[in-house]
Amino acid sequence: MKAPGLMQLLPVLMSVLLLIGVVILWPHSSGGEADSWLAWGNIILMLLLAGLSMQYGLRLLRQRSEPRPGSRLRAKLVMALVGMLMVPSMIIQITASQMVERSLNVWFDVRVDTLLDRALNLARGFYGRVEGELKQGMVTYGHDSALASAVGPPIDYSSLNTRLAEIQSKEGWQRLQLFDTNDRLLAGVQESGLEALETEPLDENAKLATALGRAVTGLLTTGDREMVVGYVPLYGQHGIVGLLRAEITLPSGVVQSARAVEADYKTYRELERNRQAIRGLFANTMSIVTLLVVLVAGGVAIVFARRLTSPIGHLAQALHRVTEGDLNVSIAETTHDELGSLAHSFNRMTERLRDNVDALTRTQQELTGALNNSRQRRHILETLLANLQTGVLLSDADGRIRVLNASLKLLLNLPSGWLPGKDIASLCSGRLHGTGQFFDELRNQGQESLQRELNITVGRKNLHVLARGARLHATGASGLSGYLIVMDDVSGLAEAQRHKAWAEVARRLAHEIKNPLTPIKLAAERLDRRFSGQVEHADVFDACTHTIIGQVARLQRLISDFSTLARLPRPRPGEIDPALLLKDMRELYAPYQGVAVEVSDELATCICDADQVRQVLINLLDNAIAATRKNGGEVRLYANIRETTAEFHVLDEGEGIPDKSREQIFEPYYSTKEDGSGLGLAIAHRIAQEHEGDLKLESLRHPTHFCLSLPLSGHPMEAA
Amino acid sequence: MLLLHFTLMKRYCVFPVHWLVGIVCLCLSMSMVAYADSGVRMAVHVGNRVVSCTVQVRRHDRAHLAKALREGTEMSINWQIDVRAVRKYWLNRAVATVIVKRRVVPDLVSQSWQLIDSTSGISQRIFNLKRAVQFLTRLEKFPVIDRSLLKAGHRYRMGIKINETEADMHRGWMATWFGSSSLETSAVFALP
Repeated sequence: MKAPGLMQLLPVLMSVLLLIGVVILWPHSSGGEADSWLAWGNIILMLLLAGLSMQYGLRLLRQRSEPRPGSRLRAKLVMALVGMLMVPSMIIQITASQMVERSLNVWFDVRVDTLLDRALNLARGFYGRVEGELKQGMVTYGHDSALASAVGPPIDYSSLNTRLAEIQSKEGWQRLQLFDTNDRLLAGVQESGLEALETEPLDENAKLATALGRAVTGLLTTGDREMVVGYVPLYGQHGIVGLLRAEITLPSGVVQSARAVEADYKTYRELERNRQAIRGLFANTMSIVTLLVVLVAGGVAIVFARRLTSPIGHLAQALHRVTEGDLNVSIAETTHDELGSLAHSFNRMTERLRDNVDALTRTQQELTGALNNSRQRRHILETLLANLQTGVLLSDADGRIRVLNASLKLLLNLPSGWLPGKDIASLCSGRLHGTGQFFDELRNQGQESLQRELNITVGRKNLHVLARGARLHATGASGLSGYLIVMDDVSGLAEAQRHKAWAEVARRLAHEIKNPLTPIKLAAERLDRRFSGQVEHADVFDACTHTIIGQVARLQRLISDFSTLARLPRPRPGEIDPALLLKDMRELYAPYQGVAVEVSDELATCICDADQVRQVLINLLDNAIAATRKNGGEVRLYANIRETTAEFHVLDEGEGIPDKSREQIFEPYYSTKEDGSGLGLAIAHRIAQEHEGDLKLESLRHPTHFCLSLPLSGHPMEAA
Repeated sequence: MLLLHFTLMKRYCVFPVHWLVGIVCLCLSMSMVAYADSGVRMAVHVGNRVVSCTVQVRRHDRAHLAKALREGTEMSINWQIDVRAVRKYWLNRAVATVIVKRRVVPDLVSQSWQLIDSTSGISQRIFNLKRAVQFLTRLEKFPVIDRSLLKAGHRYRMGIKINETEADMHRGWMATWFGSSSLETSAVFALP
């Protein structure tokens, strides 16, 4: 698994930083209501951002092994956009905080503080001075005897008014009133005249002054005016007899200035008291705006990145499917920008790839079919060559072996060096020299084909081989691709042709000679009968006539054999028990001593013409008896039943057959006997072949052993 | 609750709104923890005829009030006293609510403070700051409810909510932002 990259860890780191920020900025309960709400809003936004970042980061980490197509690009875009917005926002916030801090420091400068204190003290001093002077004067007039005597009883209103006017004039108070102990106004004077003389209810200071028995002053505000009002109890001889009330109206300009100073002072102090809160409010506001901007920017970035990377993701996914081999894929061309063009190009590409793959598939199928056909043909050819009795040799233009079938190896008894790739000319030496000459002639002659008959010695046999060669040309080109040599053993065919020729000769000779022999024989017998006793030399005469008659008889037999060989009929096969044939032979040769016919009890039937097989056995037994005539050896005839054949064995202990006669023993007119026609074994051999059997010379002497094989019923012998 | 929420969220929830819900729950929990220190001492007195209470705002708030009054800021306090019958399986039943409004108007020039009981309309100018602070921050055996309205043997919860406002600031935007705070506490009592 791959290690997570910085881009995947960035959201998690951001989340951790936000959580640390939450811990640091956790709101305290001492703040104001708005500040508290803003602080909590900040916390909520930071936690929300932290949660979203953590979720996004964890999703990226989960997808790091197999990310969804386009997710990495989307993450990078989102991070880049958020970072681009976050960094300037943080810088702006820090700068603004610094600016606010410096501004607050300027606003709440110690000089302003001192100035406001002094201004307020000045106002307080003015108010205090007025109030003090009023109180001092009130204390003086609390024991005024003129006033006390005028209060009476009886009340002397004139004196009261006069005295009050004197005091007012002296002290400069705006209003001066005297109340009795029941708070009833007794007399009063004022600057503004009688029309403004109003009876006002006594306030709590009046009661306080009465209760305390000393002067009490206070500030009274009516409308825009501010007045200093003082109360002092008026003492007579018997205690308090009244209450004196004095009033000084403060100058409006001074009042306004003093109140302005007070208002400014209050405002300043309020602001100073809430300095930290203002800073916190500003910081929280900036922070909440920053967080909202980041949140909105993050959302916009995600939407924007999703819109931007979605086609890329689809493209990547489609490419992945194409890589996997699925060409049936297309992506929606939703936009008309470069991405839309890319999607269009991709769809065109897949379409063309699909067409190409279809064409390739068709071509592959065709090639596969052709290859299969070629393989099939090659297999058929190889099978044909392997099973062909004819020897086949295929060489390239340089004379090197390409194909060599088993029949050729068997036919020519080729050594193990004859392998594909070998040069034919270098291999053809010794007994195969003729083959090499034939191949050279084929290569050097101008004709397309060549046919020659070759005599090749294979073991102790001389084969008569028909060799045919042809030049092979490459398909669709004029160049030479090689040579084809076909060889057939035509020894049998030549023999058959020779045999046929001899049979024809025999038939004609028999026809030409047989006719005059009978008159010659009859004439010789007539001469012997009529003139045997009339001639001088009867013995000579008899000898000559007997010789003529004997030789004519011999010639008749010879001609009979010729006829038999020439006119050997087609066998009429039937199911024959070999034991019956042996019994016939035993009965036939019972008069001969030294001939032993062994009849076995094996049950079998062979397919043969009984007369012709009997003829073969007679020929073989006759030859054996003739061979044992001189030394008196024993002759044996017995049969063996093999799996598919019935074998008749004829053995004799006679003189034997010379070695040189082995190959020619079955050829017509070849005989080892002086008076033999040379046709007995040839006829026997031919009968055996006509029965799809075989006649073999197993041993030449001691014993001389011939074996006749005939197919059993249901098991026809394979063609030899 | 939070643990359960986040556990369930982790297993089943993928939509970000659940994060939001979780964060809000967290903040509410933190708020409750933050307000656990009420800053108000309260005692309930069950008299022969009435049930009264004595409430004292903590020293820190008194110092804050004194500073504000000394610097000329008008302060007002609303005392809202609720009496509710405690019910085990349902919301408590409201029995009575008493509201007391008090205000102190400073005069920096004359260095006096006008005490105003807005509920009764009584006012008084004093020259002692300590008394002005006490006027705002203390209720001494304040009668809350007639005993006849309560049942013997039942449990009641007396709750008090104090809303402190810098009155002058009502005129400006800062008043609502800076010049107010709330305190509350409660106590359970039962008639013998």
